[in-house]
Amino acid sequence: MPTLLAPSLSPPAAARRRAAWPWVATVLRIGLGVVAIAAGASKIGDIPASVRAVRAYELLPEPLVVAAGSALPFVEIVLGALLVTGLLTRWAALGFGLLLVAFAVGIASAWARGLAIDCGCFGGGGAIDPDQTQYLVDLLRDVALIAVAAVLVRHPRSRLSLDSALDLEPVRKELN
Amino acid sequence: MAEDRLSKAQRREEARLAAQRIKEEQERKARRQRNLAIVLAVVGAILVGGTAWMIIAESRQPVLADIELRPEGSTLSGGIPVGPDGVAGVTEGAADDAVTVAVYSDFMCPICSQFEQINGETLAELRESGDIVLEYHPVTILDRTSQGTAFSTRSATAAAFVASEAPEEFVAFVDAMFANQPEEGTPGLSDAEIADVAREAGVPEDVAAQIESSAYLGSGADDPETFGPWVNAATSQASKDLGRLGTPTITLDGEKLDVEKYNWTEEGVLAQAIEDARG
Repeated sequence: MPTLLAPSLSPPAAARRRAAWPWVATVLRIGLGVVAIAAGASKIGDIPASVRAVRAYELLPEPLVVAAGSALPFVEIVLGALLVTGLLTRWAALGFGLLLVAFAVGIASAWARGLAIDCGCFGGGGAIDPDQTQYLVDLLRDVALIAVAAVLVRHPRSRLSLDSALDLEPVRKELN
Repeated sequence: MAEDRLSKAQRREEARLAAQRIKEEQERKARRQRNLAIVLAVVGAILVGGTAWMIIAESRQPVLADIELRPEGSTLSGGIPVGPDGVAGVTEGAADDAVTVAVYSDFMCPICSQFEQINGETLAELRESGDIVLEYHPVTILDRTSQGTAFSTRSATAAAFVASEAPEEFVAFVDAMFANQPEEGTPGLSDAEIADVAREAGVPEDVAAQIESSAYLGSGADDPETFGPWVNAATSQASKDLGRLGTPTITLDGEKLDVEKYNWTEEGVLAQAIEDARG
């Protein structure tokens, strides 16, 4: 089919992209949600470890360390559940995106200060041997996830979502 | 006239349809807003309530001073000090200017075992001569590497139990635990195996039997009649005191040993660091 329509490829191709987008968004949304749930689930069984992981960054004052470390796994799981089910997609993607930005800042700062810590992204955390740090890998993964979150904030409309079932999707401009 | 009337009727019909469309659009908008309000309220309540609950639960964890059952003679930083007599919790006989050498280790940590192999003898000699007080800090940060058996927590709890019930065999028990260290990623030693290590170290049978039967763990990590709460609070205190808690960490009179300057894997370096700390 595409070859037959070759002369006027551009408008139908754009239309096809528009039609395919909600499915692409669905994959991105569920993928991001699964990552968030995996990150939260790996920490929630050992909250003291999560607190220690946050403390190891030496960025937050002690009362905030305990608050952030104990709340983080729960918040990640809730945001992940929202993304997987497609409820409040835009806001969940924004929330998790901001969290990821905070993580990236923390990792970059730990790297810049020469700390030897495990990022604690999926459990664990704390001081490790200096040759075992993997800041670059952690940061690249973070940046990729931030990009996915940003795309979902901009275009949250997707298939198989509670947002569409509950009629919560943002109204399309052209319909207004 | 007829044409006029028809167009009037048409116009009326069109106006009616337009009104209906506006009404439907308004209802749709109202429904969307109502759904959004409900969803936001529910999600918001879950987030705020759950987050608050997690934070409160964690910040209510007791600190060491609040723990009822602590190993005899242990410090409020979570250390079990040993002096010249080699008895857990007893430091009498050490020199007045003895350096307190605190060793934070997890029984599952391979580098901690390496540290013991390389420096154990030196530290024992310095301790026996009263030049240092050796402070054991069993911390539990590697529970996730024992396939769910929480070997780090069990072994640290066993160490605290031995320090209390068989203080004279404590040092030998810790040495034997490192000598029999399981590999990371395995279930670690069972309670029966830990009991065998205790027997090997000369721990009396009645104490070893309580390890073998898992009685030393009581009904769980927060059973106040066991050393579980002490072990958890001690690890938490170690994390607060050290900032970045990794194992092994060595402090000399509370100062973290600078491993760039003093590479303890080399013979004599740790002794030198201790001498320098004594000044």
